[in-house]
Amino acid sequence: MNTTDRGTRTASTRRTVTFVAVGIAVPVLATIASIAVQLAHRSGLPERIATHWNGLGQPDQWMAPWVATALTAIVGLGVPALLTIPAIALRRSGMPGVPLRLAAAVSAATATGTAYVAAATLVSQADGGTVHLGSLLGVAAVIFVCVGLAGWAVMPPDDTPRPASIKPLAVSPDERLAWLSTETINRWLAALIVGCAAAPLVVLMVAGVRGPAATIVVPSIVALLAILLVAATAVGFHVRIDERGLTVRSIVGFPRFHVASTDIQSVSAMQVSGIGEFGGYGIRVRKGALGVILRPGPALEVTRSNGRRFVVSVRSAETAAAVLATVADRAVRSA
Amino acid sequence: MLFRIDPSADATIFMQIADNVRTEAAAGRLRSGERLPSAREVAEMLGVNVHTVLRAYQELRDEGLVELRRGRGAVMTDAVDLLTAMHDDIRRLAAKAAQAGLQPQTLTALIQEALREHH
Repeated sequence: MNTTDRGTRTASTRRTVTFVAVGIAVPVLATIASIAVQLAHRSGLPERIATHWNGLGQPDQWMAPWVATALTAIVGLGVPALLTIPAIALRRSGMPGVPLRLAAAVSAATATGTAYVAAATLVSQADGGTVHLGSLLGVAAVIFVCVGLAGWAVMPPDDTPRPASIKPLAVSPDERLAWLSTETINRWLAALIVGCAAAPLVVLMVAGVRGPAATIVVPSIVALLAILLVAATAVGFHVRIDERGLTVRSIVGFPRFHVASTDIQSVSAMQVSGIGEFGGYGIRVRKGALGVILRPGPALEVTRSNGRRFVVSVRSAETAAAVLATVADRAVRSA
Repeated sequence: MLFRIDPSADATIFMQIADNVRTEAAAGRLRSGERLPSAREVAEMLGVNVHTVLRAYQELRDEGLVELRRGRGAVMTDAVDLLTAMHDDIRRLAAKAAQAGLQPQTLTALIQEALREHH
């Protein structure tokens, strides 16, 4: 148990360290190196250097060398500040990391590429030289791709989260089980959805009453009500487990999902991150998985006999999983 | 809310259903003001008669744990909080008795005797 804990912690530390190295250290070091090179060649530069070229490769925009140096710093430090730093807290909390790894790799590639382009532009124009645009862009593209891919490769992929192994309940042969729960989205999120839909509705009503555009008001209201109705199908779900299996039904009655107890390969309780794993909240489809994801946190995960997964946000995921595992176990045995 | 009933057990089904609700309430998984699932749905899921579930809910109403309201179903009362507060003490007592090898019926009898002094 202890070794597993330590192993998990080391892996998570390594993930954080490589993430910070790729997403912050590489951009910062590349920026510092580029600025150092630019400053070292300062004396040989003309007052204004070419910084933009037309389609024929002739310069059409010039600026003072210090502007290029400043831009190097702004891009080289701004990209990791905007992309990487906000992601670190999420990364540390163990949020599944494909989007975060992408952010770090893009930070490294963008900052390094920019650092090279700025330094090369200045250096080649020092002492009366000109920029060879083709090779400059070619090298920049190679740097961008190589740094991006190398950065991506250095960061370890996420461990597939090891769900807690679920022990079926101790039941007598005649015992019957029924587990019921109603799961809803975060109330603030719900308020936000209603607010977003209601605000234009109110505006429309006021405008319609006062303005000449009364004819568009009715269809607009109908459209907005339709949107609200669609949103309502995803704000709350009744989750039911009995001998027949798992049923998840929207509080407005539709949609409804059912996994028969005879169709269950395995059951687990997991921690789900809607954005990290399913790209958002609500009813989500992701390669081989259907999710009813209402909030980050505990969820019940079912793998069907065909290997497809069904994930639903449930507060007492452990209990739900134990009950479902029990009925599935029984269904298999009696089949 | 987990219901588990065993038709072959000694206790009647409606008592078992009422026990399920008491257990959930004591464990803090049911709060005051929370609504119990409809008797019709529970009956359908457990494969029992709806009147059996209603009888269990009435039993709980008689002891003040739920309120039955037309149109709103069975709603947990504030008495739930009392049950939750007692939960740890009761579990501790049960664990102590089990460890000492005390028979369940002996402990039950002792508790009932002790309660008689307060009524």
